[in-house]
Amino acid sequence: MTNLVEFGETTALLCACCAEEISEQDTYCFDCQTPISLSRAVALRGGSQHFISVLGASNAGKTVYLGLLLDILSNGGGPLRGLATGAFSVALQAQVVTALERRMFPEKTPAEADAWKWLHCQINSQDAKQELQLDLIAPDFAGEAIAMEIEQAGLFPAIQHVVSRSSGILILCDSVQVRDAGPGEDLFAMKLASYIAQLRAYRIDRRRSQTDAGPVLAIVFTKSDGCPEASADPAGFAANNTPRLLEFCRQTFSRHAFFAASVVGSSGTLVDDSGKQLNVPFHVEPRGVSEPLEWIIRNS
Amino acid sequence: MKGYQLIARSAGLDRDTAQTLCRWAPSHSALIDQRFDADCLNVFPVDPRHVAISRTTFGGPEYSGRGGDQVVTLFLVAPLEQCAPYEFHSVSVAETALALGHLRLPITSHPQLAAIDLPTCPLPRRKHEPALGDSTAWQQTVELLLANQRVALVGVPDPITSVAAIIDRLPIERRMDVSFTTGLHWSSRREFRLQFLPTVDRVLNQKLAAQQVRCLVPAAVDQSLAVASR
Repeated sequence: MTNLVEFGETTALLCACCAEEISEQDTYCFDCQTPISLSRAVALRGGSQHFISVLGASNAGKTVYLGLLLDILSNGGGPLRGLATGAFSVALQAQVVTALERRMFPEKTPAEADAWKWLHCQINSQDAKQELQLDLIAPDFAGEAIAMEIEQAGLFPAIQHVVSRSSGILILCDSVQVRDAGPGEDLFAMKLASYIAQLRAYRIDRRRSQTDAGPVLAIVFTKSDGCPEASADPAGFAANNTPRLLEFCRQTFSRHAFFAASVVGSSGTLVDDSGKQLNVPFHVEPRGVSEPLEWIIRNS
Repeated sequence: MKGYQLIARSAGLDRDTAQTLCRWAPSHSALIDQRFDADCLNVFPVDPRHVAISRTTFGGPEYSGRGGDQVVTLFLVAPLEQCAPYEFHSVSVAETALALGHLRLPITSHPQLAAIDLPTCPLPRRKHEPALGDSTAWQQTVELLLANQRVALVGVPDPITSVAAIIDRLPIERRMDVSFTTGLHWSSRREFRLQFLPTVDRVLNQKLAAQQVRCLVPAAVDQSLAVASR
């Protein structure tokens, strides 16, 4: 999809997310608050863009996951290598890496859409036998915004547009909360999966001439450093702790899989005398961060 | 579940109203003043017949242990006709509500809130004077607001007193047209007509210009900043 529309001698820019016409003088799309810098980068690069949605409840670990994912890809140690396409894309990586270096987790992502960071990178395969080059766009949504969008669809248009266009979707679930906090996480994840299915079914209904195998869905149990049972057997962990989500995925999504990931080797909680708690990462030890993306790329 | 923004409401607030409140509600780190007792006043239209008068403050540690404090906003949704005895002066309505104990952080939260009654006549209030003696900027602000322009006032030390003074200078029938915030960070999601910002850098200036927001620095503030830089 090209993002430039020509009108006579004037070339207008289209939003990379919702395809609305935007002005170069604007800083955000009026409709969905996607940054103009992203749309500009997409327009300059041309070619097809692949959206990946990273969804999850508040505090599931989306910001840390995305930031560290780009950091791992940019280091190029695994099958995939990623290169940020612009300074705006490095902002998320910088935020996360800087925070972890200071033995802190990044602060909560605000619910205002214009405060979200967007990841736009070129993915290349390191495998000489398999040529792969594609552009990935993955926004760092606020968990609270996702929750509100599920309850009142349309409140955050960017979420709706990106989910509708995503060839791959990651649902992040806090494995410790899944194990310890009762069915709440299971129910929320199922609501999220239902939202995705409803959005995609609507699109299939409108485009009857096109076949759509549905998105590739990766359910990632995060913070598995604190939940070894999720690391050992993610699918088994899902069967025991998120049965509703598991069953819904089986019935709805033909391509889905369960993963476990962690960013820190261990973490603790600092408590001050007023009861204020602060989670602290002791050391960074990424595990299972890039595997869900590799699987999505192979299967989409 | 934790993480939802609208955690309590009174009967009579429909889905559309709730959606509007969520759209305007500030989230994490939205308060400019980071002191623990900071607060700000926000006023915006809910629909053609209702206005929301809200107070944003900090509500204790952020629940997920990621640092920072919870940002809590308490809304008062009022029919416009009930603001008539207050001469449609939103600050006057807010002051009365606060004096009666409303718009304050509750000790315990309950999902069901009771409707509140406000007196038919406001508390006695004095005409506000701007924090700074220079009247030129205020008159220019009033003129821009009456011309339906959006304005950002930069470096004003007492936004609540200042916005009250500006509203005093507006015709009564135009007062509720002016949405404002006295202490939230700028966001393209919240299209306040009047906003108070401590400083404006080049990036924020570009964002404000893109949204056609006029930035004004009252002359007395400008002079005081010039003195400080010598």
